[in-house]
Amino acid sequence: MIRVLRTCGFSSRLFSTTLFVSLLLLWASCKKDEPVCDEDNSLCENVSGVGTPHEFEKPFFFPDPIIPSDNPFTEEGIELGRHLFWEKDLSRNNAVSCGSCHFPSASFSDNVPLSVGLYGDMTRRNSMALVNMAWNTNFFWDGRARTLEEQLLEPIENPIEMDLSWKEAVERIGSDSIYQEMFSAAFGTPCVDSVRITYAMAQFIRTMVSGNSDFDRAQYGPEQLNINEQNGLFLFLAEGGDPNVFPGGQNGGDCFHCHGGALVLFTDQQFHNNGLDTVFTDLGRAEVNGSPFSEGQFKTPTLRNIALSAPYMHDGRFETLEEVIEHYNTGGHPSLTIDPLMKFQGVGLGLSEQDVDDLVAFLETLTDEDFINNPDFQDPH
Amino acid sequence: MYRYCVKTKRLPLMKRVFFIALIAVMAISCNDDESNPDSKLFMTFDPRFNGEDLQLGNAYTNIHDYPFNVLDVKFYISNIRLHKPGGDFLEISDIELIRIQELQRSLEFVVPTGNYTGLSYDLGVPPSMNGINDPDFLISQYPSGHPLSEVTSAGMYWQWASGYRFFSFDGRFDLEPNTDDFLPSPFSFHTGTDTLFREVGFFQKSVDIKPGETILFSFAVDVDSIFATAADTINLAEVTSFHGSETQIETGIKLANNMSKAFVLK
Repeated sequence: MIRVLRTCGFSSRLFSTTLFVSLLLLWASCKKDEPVCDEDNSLCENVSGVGTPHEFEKPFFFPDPIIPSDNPFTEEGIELGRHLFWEKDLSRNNAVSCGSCHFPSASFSDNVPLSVGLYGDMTRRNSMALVNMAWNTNFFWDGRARTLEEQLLEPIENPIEMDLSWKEAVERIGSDSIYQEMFSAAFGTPCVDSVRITYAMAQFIRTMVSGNSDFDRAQYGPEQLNINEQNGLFLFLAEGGDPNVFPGGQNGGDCFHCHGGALVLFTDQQFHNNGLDTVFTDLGRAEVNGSPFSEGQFKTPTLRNIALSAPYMHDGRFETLEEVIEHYNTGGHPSLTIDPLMKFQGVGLGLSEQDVDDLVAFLETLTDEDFINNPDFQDPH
Repeated sequence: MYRYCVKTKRLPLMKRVFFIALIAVMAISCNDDESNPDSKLFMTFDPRFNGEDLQLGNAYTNIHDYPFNVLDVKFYISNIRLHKPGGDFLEISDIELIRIQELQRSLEFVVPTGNYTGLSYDLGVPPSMNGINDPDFLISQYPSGHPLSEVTSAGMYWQWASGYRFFSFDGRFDLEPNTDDFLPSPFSFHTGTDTLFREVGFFQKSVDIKPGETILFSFAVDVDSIFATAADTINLAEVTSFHGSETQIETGIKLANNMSKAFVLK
């Protein structure tokens, strides 16, 4: 297969890029410098991967992930990332760490509709579970970050979440002798900057792989789901609607369209309006791409460990999985951008109470106890 | 000893001047490398209705006089071949995914220079890659980034049913005249299975690709043809959904036939 190759030529794109960069640098040179660096005004040298190479482990039925070439796994980088993930000094008042709203028993999420930040204020959206991030292709409910490294730049500075400037964060971490040793081990020198902090945390979070649930041991191993769980799986993969009314209907849950027919990652990594509201108080994806057709669209979350991360939806409006399934069972609320796959407004999917229970039983088989109890992911402090 | 710096810091003036000079030198030196540049082929795909570019979400009137809109179009094309005079051909890709809503609408290939008579491709995932009849098939064989990987196939894989979806076409309509923005009924047509794999055909366009040259093959995807061709018609009053069910295979065949005829070289 012939793939795109970048060529070197004095193209109009290169010219415009050069012009843009030049103008940017000239503009920057005209602005008054602020003293943000303590010594030689240079970023840390990018020396990722100087530590002990880490062999990434995944179940055989998972695809190879996309690991950024400039941030390879090292044992020292992962360990540093774990310390930083659980570091409360990364919040202004030393009250919260990343792990405060992304803790193991809740599948590295929390169990409140909106999370509580360092001063007790509520975040805007529900904390997202950190599961199989090594395969994730967009981050946050609205997908505004394209990479995990980019995503990690936000929460520390967010005034509700951790409210610490990067300058202060770097000073706090950089003045700690233990961290100086850890940065040396992970990156070759004790230099600390926002890039190194986020890269180390990204390495750690990418090691958080969940693929050993009851479902996995049945689907990809010798075990069996019980009869209710099997029926739940059937309903998960079956079309909604009464076949006498809707050609092709199977009275199913029609979950697979968005949560993945491959039965591996349980998300299509896309954005959908699943009919929560007719009028939107949160525009979701449209805040990122500006498209009126994206209003009310949010990222499809994975269903792995979903039983642990209640409440549900971007605003945590549903307390239980039963409520979530009942939402789909009623067909949701019409709006200009409701997904065409939400086909049954006012009609419903046609799931019986037993069907709802069986779907919940199936979703509970996606809980991976090894994942949440893995000692490598716990608070080291 | 440690040193730290935040990402937003600026370089001192001399360094900035140096970098501007460096970029300029790089641009010029790169220019010198153009003695043996690659030649490229671009393919673009844009939805069209009634001869005009179709805007996702805008209401149009179909041949049965229903207002309808299109919200999402995704499809796999495969066996993309550049044909040479004399009947020989060069395969430039085995599989590609086009996603209209996400603006993933074009493909770029580096191709050898020379004379070509045109381009051909198929619609769907070839049976050899689709895995329906292979009990040992695992989607994980395709690494992230591959058009068939679960990570980068945009939910187009249905493991238990039809292998991959080939052409996914979703929107809304009304059976009554409707001037509102909201059209109440959804339609959702997703083809798949080896039975519905289709050749799109050969598009004749004589090109002589010279060193460093870029050739464009620009295709319209005629939504009119998906609903109706001379042979097959899809009436939304009768059917609004096809997701690979055997009981609806006649609808699936009509859709696959029509979708394969929707591609027009502009």
